[in-house]
Amino acid sequence: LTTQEYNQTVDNVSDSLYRFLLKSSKNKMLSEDLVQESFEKLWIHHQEIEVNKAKSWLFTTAYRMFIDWHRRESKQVDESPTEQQSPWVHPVNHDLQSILHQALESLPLQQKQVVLLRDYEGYSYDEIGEITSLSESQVKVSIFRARKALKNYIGKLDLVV
Amino acid sequence: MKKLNKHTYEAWLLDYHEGNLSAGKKQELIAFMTANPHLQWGEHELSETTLKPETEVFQLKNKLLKNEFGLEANESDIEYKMIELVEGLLTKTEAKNFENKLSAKQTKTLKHYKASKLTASDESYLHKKTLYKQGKNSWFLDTKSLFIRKEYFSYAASLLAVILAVVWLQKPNPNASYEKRIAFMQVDDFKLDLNETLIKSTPEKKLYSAVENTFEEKQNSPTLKKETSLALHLQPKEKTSIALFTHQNNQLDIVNRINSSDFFVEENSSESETILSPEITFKTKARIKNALATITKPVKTKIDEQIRFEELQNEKGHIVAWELALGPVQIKRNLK
Repeated sequence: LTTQEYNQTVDNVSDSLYRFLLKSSKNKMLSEDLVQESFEKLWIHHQEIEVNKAKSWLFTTAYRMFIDWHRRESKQVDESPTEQQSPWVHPVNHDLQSILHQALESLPLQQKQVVLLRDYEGYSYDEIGEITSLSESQVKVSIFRARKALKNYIGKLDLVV
Repeated sequence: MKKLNKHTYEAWLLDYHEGNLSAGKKQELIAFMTANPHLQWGEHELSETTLKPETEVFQLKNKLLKNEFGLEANESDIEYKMIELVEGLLTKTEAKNFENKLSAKQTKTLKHYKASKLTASDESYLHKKTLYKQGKNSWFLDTKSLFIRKEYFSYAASLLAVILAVVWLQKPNPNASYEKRIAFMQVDDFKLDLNETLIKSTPEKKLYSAVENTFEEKQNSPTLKKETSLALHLQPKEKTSIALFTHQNNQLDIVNRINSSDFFVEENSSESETILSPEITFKTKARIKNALATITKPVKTKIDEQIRFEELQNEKGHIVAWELALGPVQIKRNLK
């Protein structure tokens, strides 16, 4: 990467990377830190990384840092069951996308992240596998289960409404 | 795509719902799902669940951008990079790129920084000037306590020399000549216990004891640990024998033994006297010599201890007994 290409990557990728991390963590400070750290690492290795691999490299790096953080947090904090915070009980509004974003929070972390990588970033299943260190088949199974859960969520909400 | 089974069917279903399955694979999936009715197809129109990205933006983007010097774009000065260059902290490529960029900008800053870099001689001079010289007030005064006392050292050296000398003396010399040793036994002492019972039960033990006592008297010998001795093995009557003993690591062993019957040549004798011809005497002596050579063969040692072999004659001049002696040990054999 040249400096110019690096800066171009900052322009193109930093927002989406930030959104991915924010959606995954629901923690603005953490997301900002991870984005900055990811780009710092990219700059350190900018001479070895090709421009067309930069985005994938950033997502992989950020994903791994986030997983590390999540594991540390999981050890420290006894997370309460997600069902208790399930947003569909008290939906804020009934706009489908809003509901889906709320429903996303009820998914297990891995399903949530593969859906985000697929829908937000448009990565292929193969690329998602590379970022998350899963096989293509595992990625597809996760996405299928996530979509089924989201669909069920919408269905339940319809009944409530 | 992985083979269709209960672990992968969901991946197939995703492809099915997304319209990514060929007709053949669709049929395969339908057949599989029909055969496994407990498996769920999942909801149709899963595409409804596709998320659209939200609109949050990363506010700190400017902090990530780098200028042409590899610094943050909003950092106005290039001092940091300059210092790295002058201090030689940049790689060759980085330094070259940086200098090119500066040259292109026709900046005088680089010249300024380069001029500020010291030459090797300057650096050496400055280095010497900045060397800390210790004042006497910061000296450690009790240096004597740090030295080992000489007398202790000399004691230790003497002790070491003694140990080395002892070790050297103990070291077996492979070229040393074999030291002949004879187990001296007093026949009379031995005879004290020569009653039938004792001899029958522990003849060897008694002999060992006698030989061991002899060795114990000579324990000061540095070659004691490997001793080989020739001794007369006294046993009653015809069982008299000559034996070769080894004494190693305080353990006594008989290496070889030859009985008197093997070397005493006897002829038909009269009632009380035997007249032995010179020829028989000669034969007997030869056999004894041969016997000695045989029993000492295992240690390849030539024992030339004087063997005394005497014929005892009666007043008529007839040989009535033979006396075999090894050193002071003697055995007497009365002839029939």
